[in-house]
Amino acid sequence: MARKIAIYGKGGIGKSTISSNLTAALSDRGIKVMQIGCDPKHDSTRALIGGKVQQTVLDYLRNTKPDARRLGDIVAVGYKGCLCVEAGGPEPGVGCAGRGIISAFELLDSLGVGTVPLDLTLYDVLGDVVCGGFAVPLRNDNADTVYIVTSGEFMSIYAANNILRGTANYNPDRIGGIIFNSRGDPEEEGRVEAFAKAVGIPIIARFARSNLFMAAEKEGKTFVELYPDSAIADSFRELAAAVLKGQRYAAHFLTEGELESLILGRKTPIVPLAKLAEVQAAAAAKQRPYSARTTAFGAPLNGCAFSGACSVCSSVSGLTVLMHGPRSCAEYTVQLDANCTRGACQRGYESMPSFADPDVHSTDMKEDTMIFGGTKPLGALLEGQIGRGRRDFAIVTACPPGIIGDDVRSLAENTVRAHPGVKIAVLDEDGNAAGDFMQGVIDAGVGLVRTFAAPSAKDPESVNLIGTKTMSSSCRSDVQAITDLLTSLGLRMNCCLPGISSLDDIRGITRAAVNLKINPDVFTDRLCVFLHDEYGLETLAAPVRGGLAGTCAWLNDLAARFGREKEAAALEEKLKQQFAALMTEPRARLAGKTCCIISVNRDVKWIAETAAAAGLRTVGAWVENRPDYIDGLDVADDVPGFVPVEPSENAWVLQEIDRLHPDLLLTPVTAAVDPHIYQSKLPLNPPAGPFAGRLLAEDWLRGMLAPAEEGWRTDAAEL
Amino acid sequence: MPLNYERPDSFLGLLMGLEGVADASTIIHGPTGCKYYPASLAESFYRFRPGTRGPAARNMLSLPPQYFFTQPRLPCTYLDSGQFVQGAGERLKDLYGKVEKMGPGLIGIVNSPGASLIGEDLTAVGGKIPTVRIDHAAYSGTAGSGFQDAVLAILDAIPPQRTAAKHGVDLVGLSIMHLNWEDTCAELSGLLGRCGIRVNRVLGAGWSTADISQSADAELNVVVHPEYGVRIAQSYQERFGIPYAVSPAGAPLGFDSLETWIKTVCTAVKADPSPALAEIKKGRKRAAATLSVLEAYHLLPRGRTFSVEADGSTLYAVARFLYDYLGMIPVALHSPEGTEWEQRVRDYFTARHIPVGDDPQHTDTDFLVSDQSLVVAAKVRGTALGGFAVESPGPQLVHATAAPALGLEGTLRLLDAVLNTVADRQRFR
Repeated sequence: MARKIAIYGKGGIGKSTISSNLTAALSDRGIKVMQIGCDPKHDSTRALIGGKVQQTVLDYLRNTKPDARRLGDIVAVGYKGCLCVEAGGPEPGVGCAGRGIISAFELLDSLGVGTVPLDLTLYDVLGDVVCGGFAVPLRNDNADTVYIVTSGEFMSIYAANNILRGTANYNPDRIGGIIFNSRGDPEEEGRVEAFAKAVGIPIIARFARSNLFMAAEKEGKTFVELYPDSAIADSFRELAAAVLKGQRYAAHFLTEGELESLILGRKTPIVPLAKLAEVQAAAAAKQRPYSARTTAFGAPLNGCAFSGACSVCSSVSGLTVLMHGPRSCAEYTVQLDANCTRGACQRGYESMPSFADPDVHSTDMKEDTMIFGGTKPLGALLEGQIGRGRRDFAIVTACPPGIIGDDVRSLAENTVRAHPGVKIAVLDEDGNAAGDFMQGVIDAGVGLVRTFAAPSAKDPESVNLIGTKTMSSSCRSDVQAITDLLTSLGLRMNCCLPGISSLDDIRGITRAAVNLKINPDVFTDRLCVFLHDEYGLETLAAPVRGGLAGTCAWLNDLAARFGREKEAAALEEKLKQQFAALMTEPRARLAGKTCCIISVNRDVKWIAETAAAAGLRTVGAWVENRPDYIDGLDVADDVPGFVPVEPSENAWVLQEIDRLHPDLLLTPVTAAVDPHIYQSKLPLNPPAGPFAGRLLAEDWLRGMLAPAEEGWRTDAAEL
Repeated sequence: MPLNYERPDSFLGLLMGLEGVADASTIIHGPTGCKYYPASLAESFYRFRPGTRGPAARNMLSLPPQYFFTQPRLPCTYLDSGQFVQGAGERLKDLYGKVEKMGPGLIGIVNSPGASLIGEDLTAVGGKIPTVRIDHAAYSGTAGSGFQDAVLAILDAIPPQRTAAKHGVDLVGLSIMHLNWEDTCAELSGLLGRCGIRVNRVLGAGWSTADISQSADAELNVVVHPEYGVRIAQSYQERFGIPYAVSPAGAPLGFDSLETWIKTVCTAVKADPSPALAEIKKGRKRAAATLSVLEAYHLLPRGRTFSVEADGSTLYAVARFLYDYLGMIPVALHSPEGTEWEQRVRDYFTARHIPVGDDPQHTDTDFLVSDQSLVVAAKVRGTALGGFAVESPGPQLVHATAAPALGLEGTLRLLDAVLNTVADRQRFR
């Protein structure tokens, strides 16, 4: 059966030299060998093909259409018929070489490399197994034996130990041996022998330092070919014999302390805590100042910052959004916009105008971009849009550009220098590396203001609305309702953030006298803090909240700020009378009936107020403690009677509801309770406006008038 | 070139190919951001998936928050930047174990684009349940390519049993992403059934693991949308000797294209197409009678304009139907997938000296055929007077009535939509 072996070792230790000479020695014995160089430097097989450079697999992948690809195009025939392949990879400092190795192996497999009659495949692998990609030869279906090349230098042995550790993650019992490649230090052999003994793996070949290796390299030949009668060539033949014998050992490895003690004869002291604290203090100063929330370590992120940032940017008219990532990331984000438009049209509300035709563009990263880097395609996209007359941009990055290290900021800086008048807000969210969806929303709000806000003369009677949720079905109607209330007080709306506005509104954001929060959420809070930190904009204490009490609270706070108390008092009286009139019918029909309330949102005052105004008796009320929402709003203080519960207690809540058996259950999602309890849907997003609850009450009224059990349930019972 | 990022790409196509196995469970090894949307779609694409009825089936309050994040489909390993650096093998193992306990017939594991860069070894998880491991979908590829990649990978995990006894036909090239695919399957099966041809199953949409094992028993594979099925059909031919039939007239939508499709299948299995053709003829008569009435009101669609943004095989069939049958004039056509079909129909119109643009979303037209999102967006923008969804998402969230996107009923529904726009909306009176 054909063998597959991998040669690993620290960078520069001589793996390629060892590998190519081993291949030559095996070929001399008539063994049919394929050597695959797994290093972006693509120099593994040169000595086998007369010093020539062959096309790499990854360059071939990039330049050749799939239906034109042939295995023969990337396999060179070398010394005594051995076959030579170079995986290749990106230039230094860009792209992802690890991904490149995976792609190279996939391509070779798809082109039928497994069908080539071979006796042995040899993988010559990049020095350090720095990521999963470079471990591909170690995977169970690849190399059956791993050989490790090392010198006696500590870092080389350290790397060898790491390779043993990496191999232990897969099938550990396939270490073929240690190959000692001397640097010429008389004491190094002792160190290598000590290491070999400690890990229980023998040294199966030893190579002395020799200038003749350089001579062979200059000739473009292996040592074995150029100096066949030399002792070193004999050593390679012995190595070949050992490889063919195929003895294998378990991959034991040492701890760092054991290794240092063994090789260096000392233990490295742990850095005192005081010094670490200095480092941590310095690091803290550089942490993102406007975080979505304090994330408990390991708590899952909800959505990704890329999507959050794009959803904000695509709602701003006048802004061109470049999404740097694979097409799937663009699709997942843009469909949010499309869904909003479609939903709005079908359900009779207004959505963001820009969602119907977002000015968004994606780099559509493909495999070669992942491997070779995405800055150039992004630059080309940007230049193309500038050529079409666009001047104001946001660039948002998905996961892959972050992982492969694309330097988007430098690209943006260079572009702005080259094109005066162009402005670019760089939102390097790197998928969810920056955080969750909400973090992206915050970053977009901050980034767009920082990039586009211009100094403006104050408008003393205007207000910014901070915290608009562009995806919400009530977003535009909420803004309109608030604008109408502001107008009642003789005030104006200046800018909505993070979304809805045009770029011109964002430019003039500093005009406003004060900020007013809507959706008292974490991201709203952070944006207000930012606007205060950088522009001195104050924020009113009372946020916009739905319901009568919530509306009166913020109206009064706003009025006090602008000296409009009289107008606010008159408005409040009018709203109270209107609310009372609106709730007359619900009260007449629902008074005395019982209800339970489940909320996943802590802003429950408007629900409780509506239930009370309708005459309902609330016998149970719970708020699920989900960390994403409304930091700092204490439900117990805000609305007595609501009990905070953890998600793990939901089953108990449902049991309680069954026990209490209310006439009405107000819940955002269907609850698995007695089907005779009427379940009325609560919106996940509390609407603004004083009479939001009245619409809920309509549903309660109608639901209670329906038959106790609808006819279709009988049919359903027979399904 | 028009830009349309609302349309699914290869990653989504791949996931829906796996979700097309009714008793499978697929894991996304990636962040939650890669999960929410496809999980929502995977739920919505099945009208009648077993276990989805009643309040207990989708009780958000009792769905496990970890991995599932209150959605029953496509649990994920919720990677973040830490796991991208450190790897997340343990979490994947844990989730695999949980999914394994749920007892699906097949488990799929797919890396998100970010996860595919870190070289996570998906072969490290596995058990007794057949498992499809996909390192990555083709980045920024087409939905059809991703879908077919998934189905081919499924066939590797559950190789169909060879059998000499062949019966019936399988449909291929229809995915759960296709609008009202269940109704379309019933519609096409009904038409073929009239010709004595039994449809065993749809390869890739709603089939079970038992179906997969038995799928080499068809005497013919019938391609519905070539962009989504030709490679699969070719694989069955190479591996099991099952021939396949592809209609030269595109998808079976529009009277002519539908008849050609029926005849193609019947010729391949030596069946008599007359019963199905007779049924189609009834539809033609209804259509003709309706158009005759409209003629009396001077409301014929002749000369009115249309645009199509759809997969190539659908675009071809629709464009030919609207032009040849109704006399409407194309103003813009674009197919993100199956571009050879778009080229064929462009050549057809070029030969008739009809200039056709390539940006249906921004070209003024009377009628746009696409998916509902693009149709609505065009109407909101004012570039289309009316439109019709032949692809997902459709116009309705729920429908108790059958609404096939293809076949005779699909053609008549398209016709209704066109004629109502023509009759009701005009740019001048």
